[in-house]
Amino acid sequence: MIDLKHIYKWVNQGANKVFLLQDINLHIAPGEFISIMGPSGSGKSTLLHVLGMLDTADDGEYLFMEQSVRQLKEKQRSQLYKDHIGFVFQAYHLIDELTVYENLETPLLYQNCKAPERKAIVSDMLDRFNMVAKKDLFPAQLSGGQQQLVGVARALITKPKLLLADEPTGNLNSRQGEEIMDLFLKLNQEEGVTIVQVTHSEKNAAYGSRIIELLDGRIQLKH
Amino acid sequence: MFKNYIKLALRHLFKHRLLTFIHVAGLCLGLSSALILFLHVSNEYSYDTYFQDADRIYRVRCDNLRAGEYMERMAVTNGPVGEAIKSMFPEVESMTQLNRDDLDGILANDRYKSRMEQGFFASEDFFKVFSYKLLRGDAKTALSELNSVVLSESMAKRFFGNEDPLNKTLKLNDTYSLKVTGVFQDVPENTHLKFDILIPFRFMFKHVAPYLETDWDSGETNYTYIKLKPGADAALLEQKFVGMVQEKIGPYLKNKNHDKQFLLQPLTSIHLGSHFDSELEANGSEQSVRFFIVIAVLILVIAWINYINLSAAQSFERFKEVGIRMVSGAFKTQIRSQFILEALLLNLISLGLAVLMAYLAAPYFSAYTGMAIRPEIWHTPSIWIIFILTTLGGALLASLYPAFILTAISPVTVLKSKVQSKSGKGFMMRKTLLSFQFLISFILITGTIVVYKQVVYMKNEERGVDIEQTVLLQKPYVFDTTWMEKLDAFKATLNQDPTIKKVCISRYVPGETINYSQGFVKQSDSTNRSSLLLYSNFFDEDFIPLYGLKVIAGRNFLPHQNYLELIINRKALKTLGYNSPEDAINQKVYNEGWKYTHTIVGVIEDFHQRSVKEDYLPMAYMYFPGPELSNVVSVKVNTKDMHRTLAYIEKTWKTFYPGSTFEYTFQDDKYNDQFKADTQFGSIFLFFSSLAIVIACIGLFALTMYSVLQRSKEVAIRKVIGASATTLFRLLTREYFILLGIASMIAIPLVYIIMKHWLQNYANSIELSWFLFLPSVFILILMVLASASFQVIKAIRMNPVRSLKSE
Repeated sequence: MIDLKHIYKWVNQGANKVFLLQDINLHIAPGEFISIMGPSGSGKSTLLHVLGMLDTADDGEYLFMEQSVRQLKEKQRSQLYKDHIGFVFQAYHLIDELTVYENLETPLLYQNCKAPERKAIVSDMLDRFNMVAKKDLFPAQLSGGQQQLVGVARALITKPKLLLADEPTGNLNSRQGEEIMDLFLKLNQEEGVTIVQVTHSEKNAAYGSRIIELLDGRIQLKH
Repeated sequence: MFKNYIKLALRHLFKHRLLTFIHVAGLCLGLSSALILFLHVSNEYSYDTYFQDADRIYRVRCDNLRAGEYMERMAVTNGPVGEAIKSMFPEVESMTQLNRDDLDGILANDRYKSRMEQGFFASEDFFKVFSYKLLRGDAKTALSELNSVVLSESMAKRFFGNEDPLNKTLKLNDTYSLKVTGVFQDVPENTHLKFDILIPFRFMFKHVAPYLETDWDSGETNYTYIKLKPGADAALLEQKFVGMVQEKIGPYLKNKNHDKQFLLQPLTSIHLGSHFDSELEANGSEQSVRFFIVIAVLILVIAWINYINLSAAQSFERFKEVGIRMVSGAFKTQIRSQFILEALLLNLISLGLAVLMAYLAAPYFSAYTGMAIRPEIWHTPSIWIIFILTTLGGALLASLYPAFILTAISPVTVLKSKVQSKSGKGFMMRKTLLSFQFLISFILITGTIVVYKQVVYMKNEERGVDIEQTVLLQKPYVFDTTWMEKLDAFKATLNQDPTIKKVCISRYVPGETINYSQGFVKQSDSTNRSSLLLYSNFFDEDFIPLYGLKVIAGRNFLPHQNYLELIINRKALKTLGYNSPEDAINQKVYNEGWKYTHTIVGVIEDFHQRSVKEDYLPMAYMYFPGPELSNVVSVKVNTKDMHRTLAYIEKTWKTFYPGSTFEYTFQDDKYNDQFKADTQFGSIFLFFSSLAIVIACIGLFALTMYSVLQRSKEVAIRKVIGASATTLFRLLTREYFILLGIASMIAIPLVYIIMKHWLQNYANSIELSWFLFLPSVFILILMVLASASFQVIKAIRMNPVRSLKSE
């Protein structure tokens, strides 16, 4: 599904190049569940953003479903991304002015989904996540765990093939975290969604089928 | 999608209620001010445009020259010129003339009496040139019968109530019976040609002024209008007039070293562009109208800069939302259109409120400033289309910038960490816009101060003439042949009252425009026989003492009629080339117009005949020789009981001139009338400058709110490490004062140039000194302090732990 070949990313600090990613080679097959680990500043999030096409590599080649991402125009990249990738954040990142229902609906709006179809998909998703009763609440009225559930639901609403999660349990207590991880596992195993998550926690990393350790922008270990 | 945007926008506006309120308040004030100015301006430009073929109608006016110099520049022409133009030039489709100079008196039936204030003698083709609809009667023949009259709808109603006025008779001055041959719809406000009674020219020629039919030389009292055939060239026609003058009176004029020019004025340009002698009414000023347009635009710019600055400042709060939307698969254009839609929505809400506000405020506003906002103008669709398009266009422009900065960044930076709001282009832009706002405010404040100072200066400047406690009586309307005979006795009777100090007769009184000029030739100078132009006034021996004028050499007139004696003023002394006032005494000058030789008997100090707006004129004063040059009786009184004195004057008037109406004005009112336009301009300027400043304050208030919010962490850290409140205050407001300083630097030369230009309208004006700019700086500093302090002090007093903890 994903092939990274000699990926480099750097920022210029004065005359020096500071490398964020160095010579990353990675192959991710459909249906994998990968955990990326490493200390702060090791480049975990940057790698995730490159994978999610939110950021571009400065050098190297990135093939997403056999397509070279670097050669795509911004609009095509957005399109590719829209169709296949869902994102979950540590800080949930829900739109405060929208209700749970409307937050879930937002990605569908950008997919030019018709209203009745939209309604069906959102209702379905609310059902599946047991949030029907909460659909008219605003994010501020929910607990952290519930907000992250909405975040995950929103990421899944466009039926992406790839789910990217940046420390999805970082702001949650352990019980809430476990629930989210169980959900990920279920998605991966039952629906075949490819998942890449960044995490600090060994325990959460263990949910994955493979662990990649980063240090100073290089891959140290692949389990 | 659209519905979703609207919903989101409304929720967003509701959530940030304070900011929304600030936005709407600023925009609403700005838009309603601009709307009111816009309505006023479009009213000014709408004058005379509603006539059919208005673009083909021209007024013929006339200049009289002597030795190549203008003697008189008039809105009127001689009588026969109308028929001459019509018969000589085939490009003229129709022609009409109007005259009110000799139309005095009272039109009456047993039900109602009307003075001929808005009446005219009109030539037969009047309704061919001006497309007034006749409600009764036939437009083709209404003005062709000798003893007939055409009335306006409301005038007809007053005379005849609900009866049909057609073919009924009215009496003019109890002498002539006039048959009503037509009723026309009432004349609208926005025309320079207002009238309610028309009487045929034939009547005038027969009974009132037969000479008007033939006199090419003097007697310019006719208003002449022509309608050209489609496609005819007005400039070309104007050139052909030169030949016409040659043909008709060329040799006669040449003999006198005179010349006469007939010129064309497009009908629609008269209201704003024509300021000649004998205008039908005081016309508007194109320059003021342009100033108002500029003020309206500046106010709108200030309001939209508020919008841009606030949205930009607030945008950091919305970066997260933008990031999420991008991650959710939105294209940038989709996000941009969301923000633009939001801006349009906000502007539309403000526009709606602004229209309501302007509608409610307009009547009070008209009363306060004297600006004309006719009720009909609210129903003119073209005005609304222009205004709404301008508003939406401006709103669109104002929303582009925030929309673009919001989408300019990549979603990662947005979601990853706090956006550095202090760096980058957006911040520079905001500073520039803020300076620009300061600049506009500065210009408006200084402009207001200069305009006000000039008006006050004009009103209070030493006039050199005493106009207090003086009552003016006009010569009888219906000419009374006993006027002159009884004048001495009338004066004497008035003087019997102890509260009446002095009475004098004159052609002009101070405050009036003098448009009577004659050529004079010095007799002592045998080498220089050229004639010199002096303006003339005519009065008796009591004029100089009554108006407190200073004789600097020679003497006043003696109490007898000797129009060979001449008094000149200091300015005329220079024109005639005498070295000192004493030198002029007993010198002889030849009056070319009258062919008399005068002896100079006195020289008086210059005084402002008009206001200081105009320069001193070189004047020749003569004893009034006959009834036509004795227009006004001035009565100087000294009384606490003006009512009683006026009653006495009226009683005396009635005994001497029983057939004439008694009319009086006060000299100082008449004099101050000439400042009306300036005072009005000043108060409008003041009003809108204040509004602009209020709007700018609102913006600045909100802007500080945001910048303080953004810097709360910095403030907290500085406080923890021991910064005092004063240093913090300086830190947070320093930026504004620097911008204010820069803006003032740019504004001073700009405003200097603009106001210098404006002051050139006046012969005497105030000096533009540096301390005129000080109040502006002061007001702006106050404005910054007032709008910034509240927020800044709040931030300084906040417990630092709170803002640090939230990080």
